[in-house]
Amino acid sequence: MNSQTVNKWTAPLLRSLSSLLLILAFCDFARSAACCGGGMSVPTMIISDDRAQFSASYGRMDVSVDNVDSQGIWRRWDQHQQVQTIKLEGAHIISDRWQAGVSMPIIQRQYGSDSYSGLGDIAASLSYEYLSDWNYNPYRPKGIGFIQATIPTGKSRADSEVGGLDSRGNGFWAMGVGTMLTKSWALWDVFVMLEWHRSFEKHVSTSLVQGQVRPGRGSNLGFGFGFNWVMYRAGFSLTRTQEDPIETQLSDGNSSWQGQERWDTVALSLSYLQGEQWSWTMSYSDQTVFGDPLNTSLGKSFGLQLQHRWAR
Amino acid sequence: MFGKRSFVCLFLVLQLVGCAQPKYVQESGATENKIAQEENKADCSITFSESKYCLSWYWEAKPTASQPGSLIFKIFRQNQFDQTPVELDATQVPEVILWMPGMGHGSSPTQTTRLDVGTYRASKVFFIMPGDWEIRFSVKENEQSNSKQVDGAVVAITI
Repeated sequence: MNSQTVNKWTAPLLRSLSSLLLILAFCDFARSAACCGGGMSVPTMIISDDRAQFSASYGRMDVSVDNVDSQGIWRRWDQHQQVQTIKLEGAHIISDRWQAGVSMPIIQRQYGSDSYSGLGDIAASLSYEYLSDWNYNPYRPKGIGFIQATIPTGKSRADSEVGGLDSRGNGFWAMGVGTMLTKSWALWDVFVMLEWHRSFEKHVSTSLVQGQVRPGRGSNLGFGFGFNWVMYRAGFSLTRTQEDPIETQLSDGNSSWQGQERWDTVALSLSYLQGEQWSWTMSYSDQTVFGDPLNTSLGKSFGLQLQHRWAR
Repeated sequence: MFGKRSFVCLFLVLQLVGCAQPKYVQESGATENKIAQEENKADCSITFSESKYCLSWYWEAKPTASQPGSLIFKIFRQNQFDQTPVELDATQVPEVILWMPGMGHGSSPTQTTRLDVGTYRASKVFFIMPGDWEIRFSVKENEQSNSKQVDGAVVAITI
């Protein structure tokens, strides 16, 4: 490969490399279930060539469809829940290819005059870059695989005495694996994200539920693309989230099966790279425009994220 | 310029191929009719799963999106002589639980008070969202033996 060929490919790639770090800047709270805090977050990862990163984000989700039932019928009331989330995330490399990340959300949920707040589920992840893009191959993507543990510091729906209004996450121990593939071509970047997780059963004792609650598997499958110019990036992403039915032992002695939960989140974002260390991202996401949701509530959210990075 | 146009085109194509097609429930009177149908079952046709108890119920005040409601219910047992329903003179007040099976959660706790022999009021009945709900009535199966076994009857309603 002569120097002209290298320049042909590397110049635009290097220019857009910085955009990679903005790919994951879609605020993660946007993907969570509008009702009651279901779903599992995507791990905090360093996609670019930095040594460490720290993000703080704020998001507000307004539930606009209060219930979609198992037949796909949508229902809405005049009064809706609102969810506000502050999320702190950090990631640091361990070696050239290994990195660790952690995220901690604080969630407030409001319905009418009732308001509940507290810590959500903390997630810790370990990632490995199994496909590198050191030679800027025009086709081969960069691939990062990850495992993630969710610590149930948030309250689950099953733990709630008020119908999930005070739930702040899945509330189950969970383990997830997945991969993120990214690629940049000139002004464009694309990513594909696949994640599977398994939540573990636990004992619940409330006035409504007495006994074991058995969740199952779930997944997040998403893709997105972005357009980069000067220090800006406009991005689009679409993520499908799915959760298996959950079996719940009720206090009257009977079991109840929650239906399979499914929803799609469309997100638009605009990021600004402020120098080499800081970036801002505004995002808007909507769960009502795409797909065929089941057994969930749907919301629209706005988010703002500030990220700081430390170079290697 | 080409890049920006492509971005807009890609976005529009994605929107058009997979847009959600919401099937909103018809609001006008649908909920009212459903509730009315359930109320008309005041003929002891709702049976408990284990015992031969049965119940009738009706809304005293229908709950709304922002206000809790209350319901009156009567529990009957079979007369041992001619098998006709007679009011159950329970020593403990039955429980009423609101449960949304599709979403796997309940609602805020209700409060049950005894009005007369076999007749009770469940107040603070509040559904936190519209959809398919269950009103779950439960009584102790054997009042005299202090058994912890409970017997339940379930009424499915759409809010």
